[in-house]
Amino acid sequence: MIEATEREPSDRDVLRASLKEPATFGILFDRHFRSVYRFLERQVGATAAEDLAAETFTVAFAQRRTFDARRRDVRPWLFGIAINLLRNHRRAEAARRDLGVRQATRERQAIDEDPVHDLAVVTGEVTRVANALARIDNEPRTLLLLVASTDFNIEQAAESLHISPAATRTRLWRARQQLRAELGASNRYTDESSSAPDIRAEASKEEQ
Amino acid sequence: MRTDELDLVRRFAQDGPELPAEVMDRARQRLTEAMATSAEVVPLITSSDTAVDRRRRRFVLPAVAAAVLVLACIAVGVTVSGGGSPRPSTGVRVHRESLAAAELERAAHLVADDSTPVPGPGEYLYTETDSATLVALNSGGNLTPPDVTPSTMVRQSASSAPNPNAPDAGATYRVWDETHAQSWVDANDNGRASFTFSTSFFSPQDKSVWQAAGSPPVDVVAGAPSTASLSASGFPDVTGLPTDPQALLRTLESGAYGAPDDPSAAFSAVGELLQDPKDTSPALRSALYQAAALIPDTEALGTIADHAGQQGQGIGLTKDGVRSELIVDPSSGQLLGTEDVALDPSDASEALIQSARVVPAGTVVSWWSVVDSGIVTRVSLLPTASIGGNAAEPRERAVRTTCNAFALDLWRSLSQPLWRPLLSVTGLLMLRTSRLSREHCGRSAEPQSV
Repeated sequence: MIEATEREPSDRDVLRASLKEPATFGILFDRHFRSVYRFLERQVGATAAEDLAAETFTVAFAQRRTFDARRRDVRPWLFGIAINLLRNHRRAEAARRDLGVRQATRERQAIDEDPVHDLAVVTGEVTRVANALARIDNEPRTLLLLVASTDFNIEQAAESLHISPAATRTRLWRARQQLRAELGASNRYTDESSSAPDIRAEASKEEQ
Repeated sequence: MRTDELDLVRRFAQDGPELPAEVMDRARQRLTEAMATSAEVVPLITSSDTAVDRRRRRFVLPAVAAAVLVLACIAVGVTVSGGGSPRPSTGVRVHRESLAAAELERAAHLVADDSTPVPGPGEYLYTETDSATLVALNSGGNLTPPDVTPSTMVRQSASSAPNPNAPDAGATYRVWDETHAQSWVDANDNGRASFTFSTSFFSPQDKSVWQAAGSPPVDVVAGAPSTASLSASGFPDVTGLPTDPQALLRTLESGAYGAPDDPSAAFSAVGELLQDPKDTSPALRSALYQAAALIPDTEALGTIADHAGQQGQGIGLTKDGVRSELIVDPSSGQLLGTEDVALDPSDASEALIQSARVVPAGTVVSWWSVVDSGIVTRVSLLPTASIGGNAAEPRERAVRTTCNAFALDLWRSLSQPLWRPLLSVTGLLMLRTSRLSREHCGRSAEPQSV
């Protein structure tokens, strides 16, 4: 068989090839479906994430000609599609709730509807951050998870969100402030000293 | 420095459950369907260049097709080098297989919505195919014994005057055994079929060797021993085949069509059965593609041209140094052609097509192409919207052009493994032919009386 060559083709090369060879797009699916799915699953739960992640790739395939060929990285574009679908999903959910079936506070909704909180089995610091994330707004939460689940820098995140890097930097800063406030409000993240808190020990203490 | 709250989010982001395989499969299926529905129509190439040129072009593939291969290979390299990969040793196959399976699934999807014209009252479905298999012969006009190697081939080719004391097997030359088939079949399977057989030399050197050997008769078809009858051919009725892909694959692997535990035989059987659009239902054709998608080790070849110059998506399976390829119309899912390519002649000692041992790597040693099809109102008429016209510009006809309506002659030689590819290519067509009138034999000299 043919030996693998030394250079991995960039996502951009693959995407370009898929313009003439649609099947090539499957390579992007294989590379990135997992991370897109996980990014979504952490926000809307497994069921909706499956649908949204699958839709992300079919939409991306259909729109592959619109990808700006000057950009080297396909992932911000891909996550940008996922985020748009995520927003649409949330709007649809909100519309459904607005039908008056049930009135609830935002916190309550987050806990009931948003699988960020749907993590009964998680323990320790993950529970803590899940709770905190569940209490902040959707958009900052999405931004935090985008940056956390990818290794995107500000420019890449900005590309995904279709806003300027400066605006992204500001939003990320605010999102972190919000999260920190929530973590602090739960009085479980108070260590501002120079050394990192031993979260694991702290968590096991809590469990007891 | 304190722990970043982003680090906490990262831990949360990585804490989710493992992605279930079925989720990924369902998503991949959706993507494949999206690809199928957005299929771009690749214009059929009506080629006027020579068969040899076409063959060459087949190997000077568009950069894109090559890129796909390279990409697939490289993608694999990543998997292999990535220590955390759960199945590093199969990384190469996994990726190219997934592409091949996607292509096959897509074809299955397309072909299920059948657009094959069905002849109405007073109409005939016309099908015209070209096929050829490369045969290595010795000076007696017999099939080359298995001990001929490429090295002896080269030696003999280089020598214009072979040693007269050398054994017969020494003077080996290669000829194309070609079949041009036309059939007009109505809804009741009545009509006419004609087959024109011809031979031509693989290269001028082969002709020199043949001449030096005293120009023996090269009547390879007549020369094949007759040992099997039609009833013993072992080809079951296609209408009895299951349309469940798994069950169909088991049937294809059961031995009636291929060899047990030989996925390549099942893959070839898929190609052979797909060559008969008249007798296979849309559901069966769809199931055939799906069954092929289940066969391990298939690879996506990207867009390739078949022997008649028609471009389609290629799916291949390599066995014994020979890659069998299906070339599928990207817009209809119909099979455009098949090819067998000798990739590694040194590895072809067990190859079904034995001439694969005595050709340069990359040579197409067997092919089949639909060159025309459509509905006509009378036998001997050709469809007006002819897609390809005559396929190959006639090369030097070394031996004979004959009419043979009686497929039985060919079927008798089915027991010869060498002939199986050629026969299976035309076999189903001939099976139908055997039900047809045999009166037309004398008339095939003027088959295109438009």
